[in-house]
Amino acid sequence: MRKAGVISFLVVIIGLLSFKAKNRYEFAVPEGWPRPEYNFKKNPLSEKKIALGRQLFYDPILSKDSTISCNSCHLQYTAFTHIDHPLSHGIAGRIGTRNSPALMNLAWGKSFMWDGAVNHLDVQALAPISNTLEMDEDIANVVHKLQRSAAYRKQFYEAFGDSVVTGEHVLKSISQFMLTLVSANSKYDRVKRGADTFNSREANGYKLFKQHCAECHTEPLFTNQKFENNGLPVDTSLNDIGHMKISHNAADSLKFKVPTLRNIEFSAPYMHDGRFKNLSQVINYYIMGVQQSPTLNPLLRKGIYLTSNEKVEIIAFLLTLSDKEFLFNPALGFPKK
Amino acid sequence: MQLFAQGRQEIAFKIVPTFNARPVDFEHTYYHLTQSDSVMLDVFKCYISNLVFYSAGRAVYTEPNSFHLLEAGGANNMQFSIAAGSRFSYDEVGFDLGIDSTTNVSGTLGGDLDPTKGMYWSWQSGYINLKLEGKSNLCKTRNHEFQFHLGGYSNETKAIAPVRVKVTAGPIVLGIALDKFLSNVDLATNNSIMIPGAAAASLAHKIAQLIEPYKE
Ligand code: HEC
Ligand code: HEC
Repeated sequence: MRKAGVISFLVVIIGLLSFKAKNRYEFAVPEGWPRPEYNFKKNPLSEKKIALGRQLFYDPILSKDSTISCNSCHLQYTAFTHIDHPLSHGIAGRIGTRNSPALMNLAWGKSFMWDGAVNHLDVQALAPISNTLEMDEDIANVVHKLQRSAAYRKQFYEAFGDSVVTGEHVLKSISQFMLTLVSANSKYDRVKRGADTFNSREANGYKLFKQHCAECHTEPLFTNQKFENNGLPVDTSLNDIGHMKISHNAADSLKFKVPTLRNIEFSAPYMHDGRFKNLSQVINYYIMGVQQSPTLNPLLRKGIYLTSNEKVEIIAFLLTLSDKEFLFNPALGFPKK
Repeated sequence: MQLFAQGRQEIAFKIVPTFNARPVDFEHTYYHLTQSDSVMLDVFKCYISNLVFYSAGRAVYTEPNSFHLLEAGGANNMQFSIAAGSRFSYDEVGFDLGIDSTTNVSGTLGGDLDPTKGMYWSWQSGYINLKLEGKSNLCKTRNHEFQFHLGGYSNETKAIAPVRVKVTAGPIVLGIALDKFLSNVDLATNNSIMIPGAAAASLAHKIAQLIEPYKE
C-alpha cells in the first residue's frame, strides 16, 4: 500500500519532469559558428511558445482586415521572402518601399531591416504590424483580438501560464518561432563538415568568392552584419538613403545591411529594392554597374574583373548555399490544426 | 503595528502638468500663450525611470525595476506609489524623464514598458519618452493640431533627461510648467516632432528642466 503510494508519486514526478523536458527547446549552434547575438536567457525557448509564435506568424489576424499574415511576404519555400515582388505588397494591394528580405539565422542578427531601423528581434514584428502599407494594425488591437479568441487564450495559457494576452508575450512568441529558422545544412555546410565535396566549378567559385565577396558576405553567415555601400545607383523614385536615416550620419549614406547569401538561389529578386531578377544580373552588376560615390566601399572602387567562365563558377558556388532541408522543413511551415 | 511597519514605507509620487501655476484642464480649457493665441492640451504622457532618494546628497534608496508610465487623465492620472522595503528619510529625489539606452535595446518588455501602451515607435526601435499633444490657432496644420513625441536613445539623439529636485518628507508632488515650455517653442513653425533627432533631444531636456516642487 505504502509502496504503491511511493511508486505512483514517483511516476507523477517523472511525468512532470519529462513534460518539462519535452516542452523545453534546445537551440543548437552549428559547429564552427559564432555565438548567437540573441539573449535566450531573457526569452527561454519552449515548444509551446514556438508553436504559438508559428501560429501567429501564419495568422492574418495580425492585420487590420485579416488578409495579410507575416507569411504573405515571407514564404518558406522562397527562404521566407516574397518571391517575384521587387517591393513588397501589403494590405489592400498597397506597395511598400523595400524588398522583403529572406529570413534565416536571425538569432545571429545584430540589427534588422535593410537600414538597421530595428535594434532587437523581439520588437521587429511591431514594424510590419503598424506599417500602413503592410498590415496597418495596432499592437494594442491585435492583443484585443487575440484575447477574444478562446483558442488563443488557451495557447497563451499553455505557453506562458497566463491566458491574459500581452504585447510582450505576442512579440516574444513570434521571436521564438523566427529563432528556429536556422539554415545550416546546405552542400557548402556538408563540404565544411567533410561530408561532401565541391566539384571543380564550385571549388573555383569558392576561391573567387573568398577573393571578391567574402569581406562583406562573410562565412559562415555570409554577412559581416555591417552596413555597406555596394555601389548601387540611387533609384530616384525611392531615394532611399539607407542606414543614414537611422544614424543621422552622412558617412552612412547609401549603406545597407549586408544580406546573407544563404538560399540565394530561391530568394530573388535581389537588393533592397529588388532591382535584379537573377544571379547573373547581380554578378554582371558587380563587374560593370558599380557606381562611384563617397561612401562606396574601397573594395569595390577598383572594380571586380571576372571572365565569363569565372562568372559561371561563382554562381555555381552560390548555388551550394541552398538548404532544401530548411526550405521544406514541415516544422517551419503552415501549422496544421 | 509599529514593529510590522518598521521595514516598509510607501511614498506617493505625483507630477502635475500646470498652466499659469494651476493644474492643466485637459481637453477643455483654451489657454492664452500671449494675448491673441489660444492653446488647448489633450495628451500628456511620460516615462519616469530610475528613481533614487537622497538624504544630504547621499543615495538612501534606489527603486528596483523603476519604470513608470504617467498619463494625464489615464489609468493612473500621473501618480503612483513607491513601496520601499526599508525606512529612510529623504530631502531630494532624482529620476530620469524617459527610458535609458540599455532598456531601449533590450527587446520587448512587459508592464508599463509593454509596447501596447502606445509609447514605442514601431518603424524604428525605441521608446517615446514623452508625448504632448494639443491644438492651437498658431498651427497651420490639420485641425490646428500639434504633437511632440520626444524620444531617442543613441548618442546623437539622446532624449533622456536627468532630473534632481529638493523635496520635503511625505508625498512627493512635482509640477511641470507646460505654459513655460510652450511659450519657448514657436508653434507656428515647430509643431510636429515625431522622430528621434537633435530637435527632440533638445526639447526633452528643456521640458525636464521645468520639473519642480509643486504645492497643491
Ligand atoms: C507587406 C509585406 C510584409 C509583411 C506582411 C511582413 N513583412 Fe517582414 N519585411 C518586409 C519588408 C519589406 C522588410 C524590409 C523592410 C525594411 O528594410 O525597411 C521586412 C523585414 C523583416 C525582418 C528583418 C529581417 C532582417 O534580416 O533584417 C523580419 C525579421 C521580418 N520582416 C519579420 C516579419 C514578421 C514577424 C511579420 C509579421 C508580423 C512580417 N515580417 C510581416 C515585408 C513584410
Ligand atoms: C563592399 C561589400 C560587398 C562586397 C565586396 C560584395 N557585396 Fe554583395 N551586397 C553588399 C550589400 C551592402 C548588399 C545589399 C545592397 C542593397 O540592397 O542596397 C549586397 C547584396 C548582394 C546580393 C543580393 C542579396 C539579396 O538578398 O538581395 C547578392 C546576390 C550579392 N550581394 C552577391 C555578391 C557577390 C557574388 C559578391 C562578390 C562578387 C559581392 N556580393 C560582393 C555588399 C557587398
